[in-house]
Amino acid sequence: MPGRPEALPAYDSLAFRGNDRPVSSLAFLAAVNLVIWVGLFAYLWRLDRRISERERNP
Amino acid sequence: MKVLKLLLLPAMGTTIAAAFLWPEPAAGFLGESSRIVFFHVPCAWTATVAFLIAAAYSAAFLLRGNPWHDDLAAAAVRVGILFAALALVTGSLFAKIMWGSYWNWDPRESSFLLLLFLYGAYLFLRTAIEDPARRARIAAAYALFAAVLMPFLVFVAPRVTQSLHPQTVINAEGKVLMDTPTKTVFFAALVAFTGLFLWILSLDARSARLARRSGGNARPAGSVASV
Repeated sequence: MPGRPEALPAYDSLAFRGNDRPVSSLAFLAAVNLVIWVGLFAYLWRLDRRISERERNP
Repeated sequence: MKVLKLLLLPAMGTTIAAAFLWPEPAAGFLGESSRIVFFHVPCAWTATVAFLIAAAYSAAFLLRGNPWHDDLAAAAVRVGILFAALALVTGSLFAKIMWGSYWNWDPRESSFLLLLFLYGAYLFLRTAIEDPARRARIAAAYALFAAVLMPFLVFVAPRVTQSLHPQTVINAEGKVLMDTPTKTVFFAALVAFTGLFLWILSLDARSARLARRSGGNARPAGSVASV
């Protein structure tokens, strides 16, 4: 019976491995948050323009 | 103003990236959970600022009767509730990691939930009154009443009893106990979130003014989505 390891490696539920290169889960979270932020910014920018147009031409 | 709005894109983007990648996790916290301070505290701070702004514009409305002040006060409460809810959600995520449960009836959790109810009642009050002039007057009076309770719920009640909540950023000695990277990202996040709040506040209030001018009660809840 194979021996069990003394300690398991730290479990990282968001760890992503591609081409055998580990990408940090923190970088992944940062990227997801950045995408959300850029989307929110684009939405607010568009809304701002629409409100400005309505203010100019009620 | 347009430049400031454009600047918010890289400012918030850099802050988000730095929050995850620059400072080391704080000692005494499980894993990377301490990083939530860069999002949770700015949300709570922004909500507090929003409710103070709502009180200031409500007082201005009662003094001068300018409906634009009422639009701004109502928008500040709506956006403040949004940020208060985000503070509660991020706090619950932290609680799950650190204390094992999303909700613990901790004094700080409970007092912030009460704050949310207090200002939620403001929105219910606004939708319950048909006449715009009467609605604005009564809502302004209620916002001032809520502003008297707000400091008690945010600053006093959580400190009266024992709490699981980590020490606040500015502690009893008035010192910020953070290393330089953490402090830099934290204060950058405060500025970026305040900027985001002011932008959303302006959009919501301008949208409410448009709705008021184009037909009064066409959009009683004042949602920006209806523009």
